[in-house]
Amino acid sequence: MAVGEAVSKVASGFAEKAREKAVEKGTEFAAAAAQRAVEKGAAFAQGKVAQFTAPSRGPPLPPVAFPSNVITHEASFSEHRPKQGEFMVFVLVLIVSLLAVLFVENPLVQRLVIIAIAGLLFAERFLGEKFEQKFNIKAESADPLMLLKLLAAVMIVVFVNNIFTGIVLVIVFFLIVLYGPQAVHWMQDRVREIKGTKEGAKALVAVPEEEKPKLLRASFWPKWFFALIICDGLIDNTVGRIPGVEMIVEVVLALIAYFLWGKAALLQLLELLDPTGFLDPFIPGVAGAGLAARHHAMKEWEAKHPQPKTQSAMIFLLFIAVGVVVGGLVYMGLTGVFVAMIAGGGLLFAVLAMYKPDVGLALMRTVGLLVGYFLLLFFLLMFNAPSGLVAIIALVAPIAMLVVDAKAGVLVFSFVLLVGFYAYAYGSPVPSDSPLGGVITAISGGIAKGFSKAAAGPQYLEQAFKRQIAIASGDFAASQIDAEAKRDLGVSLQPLKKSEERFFTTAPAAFFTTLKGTALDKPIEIKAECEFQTGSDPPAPAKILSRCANDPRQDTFCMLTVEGEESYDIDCTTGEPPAAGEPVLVPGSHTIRLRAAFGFTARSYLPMYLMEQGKLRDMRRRNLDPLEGFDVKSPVATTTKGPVRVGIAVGTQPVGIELAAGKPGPTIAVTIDNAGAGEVAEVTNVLLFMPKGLTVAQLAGGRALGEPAKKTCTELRDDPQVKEEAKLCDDKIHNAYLISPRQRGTEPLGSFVTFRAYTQVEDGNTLLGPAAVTTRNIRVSTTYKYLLKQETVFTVEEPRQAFEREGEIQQVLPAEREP
Amino acid sequence: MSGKWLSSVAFVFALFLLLSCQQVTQLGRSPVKQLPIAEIHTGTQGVVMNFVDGAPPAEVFEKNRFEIAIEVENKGASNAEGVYVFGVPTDVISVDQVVFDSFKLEGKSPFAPVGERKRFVLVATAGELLEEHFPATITANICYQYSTKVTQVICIKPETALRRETREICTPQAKGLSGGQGGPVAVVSIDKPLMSPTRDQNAVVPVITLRVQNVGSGVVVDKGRFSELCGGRAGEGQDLLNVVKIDAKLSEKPLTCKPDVLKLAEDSSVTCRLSDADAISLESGTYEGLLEVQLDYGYVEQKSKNIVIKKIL
Repeated sequence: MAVGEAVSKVASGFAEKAREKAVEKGTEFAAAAAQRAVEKGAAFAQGKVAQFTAPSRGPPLPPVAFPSNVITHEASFSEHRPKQGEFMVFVLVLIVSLLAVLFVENPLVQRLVIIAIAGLLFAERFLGEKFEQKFNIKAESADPLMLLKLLAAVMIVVFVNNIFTGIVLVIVFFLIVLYGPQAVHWMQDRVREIKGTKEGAKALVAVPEEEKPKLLRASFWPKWFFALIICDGLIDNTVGRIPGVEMIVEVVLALIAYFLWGKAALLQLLELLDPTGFLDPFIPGVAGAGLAARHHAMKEWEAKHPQPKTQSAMIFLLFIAVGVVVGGLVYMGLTGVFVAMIAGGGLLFAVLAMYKPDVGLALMRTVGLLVGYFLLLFFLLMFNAPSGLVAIIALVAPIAMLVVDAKAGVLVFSFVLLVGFYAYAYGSPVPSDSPLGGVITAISGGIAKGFSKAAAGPQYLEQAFKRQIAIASGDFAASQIDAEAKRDLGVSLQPLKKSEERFFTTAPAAFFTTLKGTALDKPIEIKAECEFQTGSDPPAPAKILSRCANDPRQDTFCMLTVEGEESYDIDCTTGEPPAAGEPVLVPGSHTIRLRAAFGFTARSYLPMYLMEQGKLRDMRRRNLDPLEGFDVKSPVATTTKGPVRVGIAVGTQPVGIELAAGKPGPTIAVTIDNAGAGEVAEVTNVLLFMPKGLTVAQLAGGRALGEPAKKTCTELRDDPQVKEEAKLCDDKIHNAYLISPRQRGTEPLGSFVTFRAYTQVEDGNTLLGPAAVTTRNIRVSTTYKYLLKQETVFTVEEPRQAFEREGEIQQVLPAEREP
Repeated sequence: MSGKWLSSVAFVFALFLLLSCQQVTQLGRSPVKQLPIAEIHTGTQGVVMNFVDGAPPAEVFEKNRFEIAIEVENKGASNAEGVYVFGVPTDVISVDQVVFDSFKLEGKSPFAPVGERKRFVLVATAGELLEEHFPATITANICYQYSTKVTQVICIKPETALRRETREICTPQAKGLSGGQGGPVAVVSIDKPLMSPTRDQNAVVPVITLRVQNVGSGVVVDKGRFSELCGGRAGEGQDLLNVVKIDAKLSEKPLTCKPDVLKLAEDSSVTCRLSDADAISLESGTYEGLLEVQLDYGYVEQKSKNIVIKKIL
């Protein structure tokens, strides 16, 4: 009875508070929130229909009768508005962080500030009421999401080291964190409406959180579940590689999971079996334990409270599965995905089945998805596939928002950003040859590349879309990178780094980077040049310094030659040191840009299986496999490493050949695809080597490419542009064609270009040879000019203002003290 | 004494001769051990071809010479005569000899329980590369003529609807023949022999339906044109695939088979019957007759091996 009264009191408190809020706002929106609160309180206390009485202050609201299991959409919407306390703490931390950026330059102190802020936030739990009263926040101390959001914001501000970028990032982050959940819940409601399950969804949501078991509460399980599995995953792939550290972390995680979810958490201890942590991503113990515990709770709950179910969660889970598999296919290949899924899923299933045979099967589906996610993360980090990592963040975060909980999605996003920024900012102090250093370098490289990709996002998406359309319509000849080739051919340019932390008008701004190149047999000649731009002014040449083959002071550019594997340090400086008293740079925002242009050749080849047309038709008619006994029945073109890939396709193999001269041969599609970070400034020429007996009759497509010119090998060897590629040309074996652009240097390639060569049989007997199925190679050498760019934006300050602010003017500018 | 000595020498000499006879072997054959005919005519393989291990090697450096070798072994019960052809991508591999030639291989027999085996070698040179490495597919084909002989005892029960045979020496029934008959094309079942009436009301002719299948891994071709798939040209519309010629006898009397040249399909059958002149009298009663069937055909097998040519860096 006493308990009933207490509950009733609490419920009335809810109702009163909401009513006051409604009156204050005077809107329908808040009134709906009040209705929901009344409903919650009444249902909680009595479990039946409640009456709502008009408030004592403000305009009266009419009495509303409603069933206890229905809530309004607006109530659900308003539930996720940012809390006042949350907002206040956020602003407080933002201010502290900005102050740290402005006045604390020593990285060590910066870190101490971060630790202090983090400590303060964690201490909130123990400060209790005092802290809550002072900042008017609810008891959010047990919410890991809250802490992570704040920490992430601090990290962003402090690590960016650039106040303007930092502020923009924080505002964006702030909006995402505070208003993201609202937007997501709005979307969820739309989805439910579309699925026609609104009533069911309402009924589900209508059950007060307090009535649910702890494991089924939206405020409890998803947060801890995601927090733990992401911690586990990231630790496994970072510091978890250091023996000793890994063991401590696993035990701690297992203990946390044990207190949250019970004995199932002991699964996590299986990760101790591999002290190097390499196999740990295959054993997502905390994930399994969390799912097992929730599944068990859900089964018990559903037995007591049969509920309608929404299908949207399953649809989104399906999207995750498809996304993970597609991503895995791109980066790991079919076999990799298959083996990883089978190995990870099988192992986990076996363990779960042993521990809890009744839940093993039911968990298989969900756990399989998680295993896939972890494996993918593991492999991506192992092989440093940055765009994949970014794709995972982009994929998992919104889906986690939609499927599990809006805050859980933000949690994923925040945590990954946090770790990424940490790696990016503090990667260098860790020795690069240590295991942690290696992992951090991989992550930071990935993040840096990821950001540059993100900047080019819309363009990239457009290109990817076009490419996908072309693949679907058969207008894209596929290729695979020569996986066995050891050398990573081509040229890469690291991001430009500042030589100083701040720049002033009194001295030139200097930047540096490293250019790395690998050539096979032909040296790569690179023309590098720096340019400098202020606002929207036209760019002006900047000084470049490196081990140039020419004199860059004369030419304003630098010629570099790469033979074998070489790297060059390059410095770009905005101008000469100033004459006394004259400013070199104007204050404000500037851009420094480094361009590196080089000529390169992509070589590609495709084995073509040829068979006499009559025999081939006979075999197909009788359902016989003409390639019986062949290991590879559908060969894919192999292309050399480098920024451009060249795909070749000839349709279904084997290709039927009619013997008579002049008969049409196979149509050969060639796709030149820019897969690098720069742009193809120009396709210099394409050399097409057809097998003897097959000639090119006509070329279609290929935009700026001209008509193919048949050349003898001698003619090609006499042409300085292609003599290197024609070195192995043999007139007895090849029919060679040189395709040049219609007009040089007019149009960059863009994403890809496909052309088709219509062929004719010249001599069927020579082409086919004596074997039943003959293998002939089509080879394509594409020579192109490639342009790599790196640029960075920097701010120039007036020294007087800057130093005055810092109180250092007396030491730095002694001349000004003199009369 | 001398007689004793002479007889001892003669005994030793005779013993030597006997031992020598036991050790006689032929090239590529195991010691002679006589097998029953039934054991010889089993199996679904004819001439089997495989690349010799390490020839070609999995990797070879540019401008280096290497060997391509196949081993062919006749594992069936018929002698084989045919051609072999190597297929190499000539833009990356050059050869300085002919890539095809003919061969003959004896099959298993009561005195040679293992068929003849031979190796054919081609010396090739890897071409120079511009790329770091270059994969190449090397193929080998063998095309040969072959035959499968089937011998089965079947129960013949001459009777008509009006006149039933009551003397039950054996019961006519369908037979399934698994395991092959020493060749890649085999009779897989024999239906229950039917008795077809003749103009003579006292005689019938047995009608036997056989089902024939390609039980090997290769392709069946017309026996007379097997080489068209190895080196020759068939041209458009030339129907040379899945052709099997059939000859059959029942107790030494020739059977007329329709079709006599069978086009193999998924469920190919041929019906053979005695001519009216050889009709069996109803008076002769039930008996076990010896059915002999010979399938003549050409057969083609192909294998490929992928190698990688590496640039010397």
